[in-house]
Amino acid sequence: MTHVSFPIIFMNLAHMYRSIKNPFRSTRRRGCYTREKFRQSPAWVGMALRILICDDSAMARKQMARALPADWAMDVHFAKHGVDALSQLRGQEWDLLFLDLNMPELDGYGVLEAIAQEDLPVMTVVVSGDIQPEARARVLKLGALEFIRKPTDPERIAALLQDYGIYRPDEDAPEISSQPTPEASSNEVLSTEASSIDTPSTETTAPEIQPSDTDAAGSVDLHGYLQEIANVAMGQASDLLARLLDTFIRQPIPKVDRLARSELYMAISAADDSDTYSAVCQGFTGAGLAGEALLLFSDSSIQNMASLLGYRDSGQTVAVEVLMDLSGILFGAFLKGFGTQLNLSLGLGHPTLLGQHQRVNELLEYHGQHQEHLLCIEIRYEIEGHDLHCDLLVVLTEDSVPFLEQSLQYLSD
Amino acid sequence: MTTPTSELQDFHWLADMVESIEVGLVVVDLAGQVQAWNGFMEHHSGFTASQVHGRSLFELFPDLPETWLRRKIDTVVTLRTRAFTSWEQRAWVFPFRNPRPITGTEPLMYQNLTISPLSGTDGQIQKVCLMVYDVTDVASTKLALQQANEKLAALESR
Repeated sequence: MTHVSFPIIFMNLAHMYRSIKNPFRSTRRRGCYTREKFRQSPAWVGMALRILICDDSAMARKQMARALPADWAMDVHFAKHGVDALSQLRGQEWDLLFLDLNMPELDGYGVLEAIAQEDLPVMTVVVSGDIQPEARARVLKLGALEFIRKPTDPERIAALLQDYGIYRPDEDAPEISSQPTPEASSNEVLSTEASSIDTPSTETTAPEIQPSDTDAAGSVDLHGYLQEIANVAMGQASDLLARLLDTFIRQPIPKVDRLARSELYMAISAADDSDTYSAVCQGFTGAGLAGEALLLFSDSSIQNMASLLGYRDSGQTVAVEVLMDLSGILFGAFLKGFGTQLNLSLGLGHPTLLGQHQRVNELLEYHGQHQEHLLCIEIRYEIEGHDLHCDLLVVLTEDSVPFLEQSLQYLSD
Repeated sequence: MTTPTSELQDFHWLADMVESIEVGLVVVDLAGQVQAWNGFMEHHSGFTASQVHGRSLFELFPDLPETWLRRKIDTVVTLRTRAFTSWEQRAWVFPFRNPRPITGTEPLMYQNLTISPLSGTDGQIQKVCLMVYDVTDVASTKLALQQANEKLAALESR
């Protein structure tokens, strides 16, 4: 951590940015705002910081808003995906953007590219569950100021903001600006005022102001909760997979579905009827939660994966070898991340080969009578340039729902 | 209340359990030298713990698929995750006799194996634990079922 040698009071960063923009035009790295430039700039006394949080998960938006220092004058808005964020960024002035990478419509990389291209004056901090070193390198290269791992740690955020001199904890903070604005006069301002027109976001349109609530982030339902937990757990699994294969893994978006047990085969959305699959499953259980993790490979992909893993010969045993190797790594890392976030220690059984060279509906066929509704998380890994994909399914039993709802409740309180 | 004596007692029970569990437990260091060897391994291999201590696993069992096993161990150490192998990929890792030598149908014990990383006090992975499960029953039933299905399919296609 470094110290700022001159007093910085609350300031409008975008304003400041524009004032120093021209002198740096020649050396500027595509709209990015570096620490040095910040240091050299005059301190501006101004209004509350305008902060935009862009994440497709309501839970992640909420977590991020909560991770911001409570004693900070700020005006927080939200965007649901990249397109939403860009339209808000274009319409108004912003100081700080917290950006997720893994989103539908337009992902974080796309947003960073657009910010650089259109020279939008905002500082961007990427907040992602993708912990591959390559992901960090890519976003920094695209002009992001910093990269923070999910789940968001308030201390880390405070340290980062302090490091950049835009936040000082209350005790040693100098008096608030000489010309206090309505926003800055309150300790914490989380405005939910209607944002600029033409934004597809529905959640920033709530008219009432709730100074100390983060409801504007959107309410979190069980699906959204599971999806975000899965997203973070998957980041840890992908990191291991990337290291094993020595390649960059583009993070997929986990899909959460509620399915009848007899319809489990429908969980593999992209399954082709003519394709045959091989699968491994591993049961897991903890206090209040139980389920199974499944890894499915189409038979055409499995050969490609075998050669990527360095298995020379092909054939039956190599296919099992690939399934066991990958499932061990993906299941282990995913379930560890999953359990940690739920504050739960999960016991894993020995993985079992579910079947080989079968159609998905045969592989996941259910013979019982009991109609149970399962919670199913599907993660579809595609590995670029190798024409291969595999499906990681994490299926939770119906009686795990009360536990999940309780922990969701705990989160929202 | 915990007294040093009762701690020692607890340790004694623990050691007893590890010794008598119906799962093979082997601890090897990164060079492949045996550090621990439980009762299951003693009974099925015929080597006592003191005989194998400090010796290379690959010397003791020349038939062990060394490259394969070393590769798995390396993955476990670098990625710090458990690795699993199933009897379907390799029927056995250690050449043990079928635990039911009379009524059993297969000559050797089918095994599933779990390799688990063990970290030292500094957090570094210094050893790994091999857990050997006897799955002879499951394997022979599944193989018999497979054969029966193949026969049925052959009859059907006639």
